[in-house]
Amino acid sequence: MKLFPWIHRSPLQNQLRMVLLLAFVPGVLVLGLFTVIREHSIIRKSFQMKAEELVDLAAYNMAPGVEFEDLQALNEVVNGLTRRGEVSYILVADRTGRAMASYHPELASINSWKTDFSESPIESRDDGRVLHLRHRLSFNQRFLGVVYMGFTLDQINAQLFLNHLVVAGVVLISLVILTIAARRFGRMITDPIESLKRLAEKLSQQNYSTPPVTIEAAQEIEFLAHTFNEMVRAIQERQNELRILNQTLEQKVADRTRLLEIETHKAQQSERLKSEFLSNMSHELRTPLTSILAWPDLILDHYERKQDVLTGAAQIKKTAQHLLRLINDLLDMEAIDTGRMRIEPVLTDITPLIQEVMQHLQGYAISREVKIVAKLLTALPPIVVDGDRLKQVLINLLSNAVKFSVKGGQAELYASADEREVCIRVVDHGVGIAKEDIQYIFDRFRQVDGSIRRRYGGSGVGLYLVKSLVTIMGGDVTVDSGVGEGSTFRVTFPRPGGGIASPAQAPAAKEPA
Amino acid sequence: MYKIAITLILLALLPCSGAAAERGERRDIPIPLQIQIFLKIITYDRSFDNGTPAPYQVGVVLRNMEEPSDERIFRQVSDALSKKTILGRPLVPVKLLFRKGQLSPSEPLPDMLVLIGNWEEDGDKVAEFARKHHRLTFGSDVALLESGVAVVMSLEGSRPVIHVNLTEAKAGGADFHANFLKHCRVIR
Repeated sequence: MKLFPWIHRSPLQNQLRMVLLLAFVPGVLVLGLFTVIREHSIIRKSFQMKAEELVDLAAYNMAPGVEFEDLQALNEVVNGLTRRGEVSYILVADRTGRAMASYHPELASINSWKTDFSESPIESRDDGRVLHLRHRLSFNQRFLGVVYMGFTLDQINAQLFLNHLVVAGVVLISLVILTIAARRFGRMITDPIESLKRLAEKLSQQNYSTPPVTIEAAQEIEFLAHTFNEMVRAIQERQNELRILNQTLEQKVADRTRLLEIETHKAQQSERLKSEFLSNMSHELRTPLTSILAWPDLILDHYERKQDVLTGAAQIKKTAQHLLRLINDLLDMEAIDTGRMRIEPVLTDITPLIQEVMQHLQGYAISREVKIVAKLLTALPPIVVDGDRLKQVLINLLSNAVKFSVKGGQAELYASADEREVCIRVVDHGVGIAKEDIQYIFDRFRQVDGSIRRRYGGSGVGLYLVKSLVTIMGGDVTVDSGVGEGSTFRVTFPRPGGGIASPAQAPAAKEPA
Repeated sequence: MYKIAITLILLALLPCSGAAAERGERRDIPIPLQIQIFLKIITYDRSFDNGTPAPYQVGVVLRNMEEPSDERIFRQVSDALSKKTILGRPLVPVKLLFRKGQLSPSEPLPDMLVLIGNWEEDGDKVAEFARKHHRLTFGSDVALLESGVAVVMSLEGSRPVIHVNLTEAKAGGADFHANFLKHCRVIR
């Protein structure tokens, strides 16, 4: 249970001040009060002792005067006493009560004393203003009379009042000093905590750039401040890390977004190419079919002319074979895409293979009025390939070279080898490929220029198959071309187990067929 | 107070100065010392007139001047008073003859009367004379108190005692201070 809830809710500095004041103020007040009471008691007692000594001495000197009725001697003593300012009255009476000497006897209220005397020769009473004393007079142990003396307490009261004022002043000054000290002590403890509080407020407002606090205080608070600063430093480091991470993340998101855009663009382009491919392929398929369908009608109309029938049959066969190649290309592409392409690599001597390709395309080249020129190393080393697929690759490249060569031009095929690989280059001097389009020519469905397709025909599958098959067989294919500069396709395969002949030792190339 | 102290010192010296005491006889206080003490006692008399330069006459009561003893007494008193003053007044010894049971008055009458020796029989007459003329009387025999001598000095063992017959002293015109009287043996 909280005795003073308002203290619990007040600021820490006020609580400390309150505790210090509660601890010391009562002590100061009690000390002041004790001092006042003690001074009052001491001074009054001292005064009374002096007064009693004085009365005792006076009684001693008065006794002979009373005994011998020496009034002059009595008056000398009385006069001597009255010179003291604190004596307010004196009355000397003999045993019958007759006044023998006096000083302001009207102030001596004799009747207020008891009629009986105590055992002590001196008695006193205090009415706050005057200290009344009564002393028995005796001589040679005979009772002679009584002396009454009064001492004014005005001076002593004034002195006490002055002393009380001094004590009150000291107490007041002590309280003021205590209050100031309590305030300073409170601030000495709470100021560092206040600094930490301000720092915590800044942190709560996510202001992490605040400088560390410097505190000179008690060890515990300095340790707390040090820990706080360490925490702030850790937060700042964490913030920096987060900022860097955030920047990295943003960069990654931007990169991914850009990649996604590129991929999207590619996908869109691929979709577009696919549509174009389908359209193109439909056209490529329909054209030979139209030819195949037309030739039977022509043969039926002219069946009596044998030559025409033979020509028609040959054309049908030729067109059907072209159609079959197209379909085979599509099937190969599908097999590559689905990973079902099966190749059977064996150590193969490629010279006869190249010669077969050249023979295969010879008719086509003649029909295009293009000359095929081949320059082969006399002893080409064998390489590990699937012979049929390599033939398919070379047919594709060389037929393209023929197709894109101008009439009267020539398509060239070079085969060479060095210590590491065997290289086959297919060169034409046709329209060439723009530098920016070279990167796309091995893409599926890609034919870099629609006008070229319309002019030269083609499904757009051939180079894709070339690239895919060469790669599957462990080789590589590159192209070097430019608009109007022709094209050079370079197919390389690694030699199994190192070279067998250097170009310098090789015999001169021969032109096949 | 210093006067009282000196008186007490003188009284203390009394036992040491008595030759008779050494011989085992009745011890009398030496005359010069008696005179000195009497003169001191006079100073406690508030009626002593110290406002006049007139000599203070000390009357020595003698029975017969022709007797060597009286002559010796007077000479000793004269020697004791010689060149001395009391409160500024010079001291003058005066002979007073006691003949045929009475004192022969002189002119002027001395300020005090001193009875030295044995005056048991005639002391009362001298005291009556002094009372009549308001003169203070001094003696050195306690028996004189009964005769009416005002101030008597005696020895009790080795302790000196001043006896004061207060009634006679007042009758002799003396006004002794109470603080002096409290050191004396006072009778009324």
